[in-house]
This record gives sequence, structure tokens and C-alpha cells, in this order.
Amino acid sequence: MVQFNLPDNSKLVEGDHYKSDSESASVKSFRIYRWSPDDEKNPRVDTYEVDMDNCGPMVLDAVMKIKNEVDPTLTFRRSCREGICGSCAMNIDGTNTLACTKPIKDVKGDVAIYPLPHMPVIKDLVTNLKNLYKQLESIKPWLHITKKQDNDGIENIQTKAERAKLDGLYECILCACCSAACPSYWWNSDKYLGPAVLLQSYRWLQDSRDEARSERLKELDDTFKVYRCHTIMNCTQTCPKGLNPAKAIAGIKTMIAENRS
Amino acid sequence: MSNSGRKKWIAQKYSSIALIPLIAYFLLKILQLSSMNYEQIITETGTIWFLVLVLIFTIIGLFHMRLGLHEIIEDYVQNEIMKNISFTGINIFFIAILGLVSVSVLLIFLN
Repeated sequence: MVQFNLPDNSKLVEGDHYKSDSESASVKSFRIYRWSPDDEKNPRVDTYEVDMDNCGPMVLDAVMKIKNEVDPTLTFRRSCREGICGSCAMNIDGTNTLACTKPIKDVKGDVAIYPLPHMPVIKDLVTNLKNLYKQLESIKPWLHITKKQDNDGIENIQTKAERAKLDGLYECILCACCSAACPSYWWNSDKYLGPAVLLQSYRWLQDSRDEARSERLKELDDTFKVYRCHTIMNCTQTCPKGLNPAKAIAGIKTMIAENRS
Repeated sequence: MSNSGRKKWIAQKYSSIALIPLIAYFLLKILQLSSMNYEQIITETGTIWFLVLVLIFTIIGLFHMRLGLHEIIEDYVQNEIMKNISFTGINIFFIAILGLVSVSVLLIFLN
């Protein structure tokens, strides 16, 4: 059954408060979730005051400043710094998004930063995405081609219209913001593929060059893999790339319904 | 495929579409009946086509509700035994409701 209460050792407690030395009026507080597997302590929320006059504009800039100048134990993922790699996905101000593309000025009051919800936490803001990657692997996210011309080095040409079908799909960076925002994925992440993986799946289903469409659809036709989506649309609302996974899932459902073979 | 979600999804869509005109009809009917006296209501609701529509509405409505409740159970109940008990309970409940409505319709028709 669904668990409504957190176990005692998972309840959040108030952590340390790191005051800023700056006398500037533009000091902003960042309340960041902290948990380490190395001790037996409950997760806590530490508060860091950051002088905005000496900080970059994005939330990631502030988190990096905190790590570099205040607390080197703060753990998080980051890489590209420009919304391409998806590493710095976290829950900021109540919404899953990328810290590198989230402007601090968009957050009124204190900036609350948590790891992606309902994902196992490895440490602080780092979550375990193993299950998501396993699910991604299960949909075989590559082109299935058996035609001879592929081996002959001849281009497998798409029309402009065929290529246009991939717009809004190929841009997904697999940051997992959408899946971590989906209540259906929270309850059944072991069986339901979730919006991120289903968007990827739809990307291959829409590819005119792929020859495994029917097999892919048969694989997806399962009460849990696709049909746990109840069009809640949190995925679409939270996607930091402005994509529409809910529409992709609706597309998959329609394709399965039409797939007779 | 035994675990296919396709048929259930299609059944949900078709039943919901079928319910739209039926609900609209019964809402209008209730408004119409509210302005009638007792004798007129008895006459109006005793016609064969009205009773057939009541029966169709009940069958499709209960079928749609059953599908929806099954979805909720599948979402939230992880324990397989509990899940099967819940499914059986829901099925018995809806069969009982359908039986009651059918008997009521038959009694109205016979009177």
C-alpha cells in the first residue's frame, strides 16, 4: 500500500545556519536538503546566506559558490552549466528543474532546494537514477534497421515532414525532472516507465527510418508500462526544456490502439 | 497479450464517449421532470424507451466506473492478494447494483 507517513529516521530536521559576512542588502538565503549515508542522522535542511552582489544569476551559481566558499561537503551533480547535460536536475522552489537554467531572481523569498522527489537519495542533492536508465535500456533507444542500404553506406534519407516529427522529442536530455514529478511514477516506478522514458520511446516510434515500430508497440502494450499515465500533466508543466511528454504518451496510446499487427 | 492495457484503454474511451449524450439526456430529463406533477412523472418514466435508456445508461456507467476503480486499485494497491480481493469486491458490488437496477426497471415496466 501507499505509505503516507515518513519513517522516523527520514523526517526532516532543521540543520545549520551559515550566515553571510557581507553587509550587503542583497543577501539571499538558500535552504538546502542535506543527507549523508555515512552517519545515522536524519536528513536536515541547512540554510546558507549568499551575497547576490557577488554571485552568478542562476541557482547553480549559488550552489557552486556555497560549495566552493562555505561548505565543501555539499554534494550535487553538475556538468555543462547550460541546460544540455541534465546533471543538475533538482527540486527548486517546489518545481523540478535544472539549477543551471533557473534564475535566482525568479524565486521569491528563500530558495528551497531538494533532490528530485521520490528518487532514492545517494547523498544531499544526488539521486540514484539507476532504475530510470534500466527502463531506458528496456525500450532499446536506438535505430533498428535491417535494410541492406544501411550496410552499403548509403544515406537513409528522411523527408522534411518525417524529420519534423522528431521535433519536440529529440531535445529531451533525460534529466528525469518529468518522471520525478509524476505521481504515477512515484507509486509504480518499478513497473511504469514514466514520462522521460516514454518520451524517448515515442521519439523512436516516430522515426521514419526505424523498422521495429510494431515490435516496440507490442512491448509497450502492458497495463503498467504505459497505462499508468493518467494525464496528470506534471511532466509537461515541469519540463525545463519545454517539451510535452504527456502528449507523447497520448501518442503512444493511440499508436498501440491502431497497431493491428 | 494477457497483460495488455490496450483493450481496457479503448473500452474506457468508448464508454466515456457513450456516456456524454446519455448524461446530457438524463440531465435534461431531470429538468423536464422537475416541472411535472406525480402522475405525469409516472407516465413519462414508465415508457419503454425511457426504461431502455436507463438500463443502457446503468450498464455503460457501471462498466466505466468499474474500469476506473480497477485503475485506482492497480495504481495504489501493491499487494497482489489485496488487489484481487478488491477487484472481486468491486465486481460483486457492480453486479449487485446492476441486478437491482434491472429488477427496478422490470417492475416499473410491468406496472
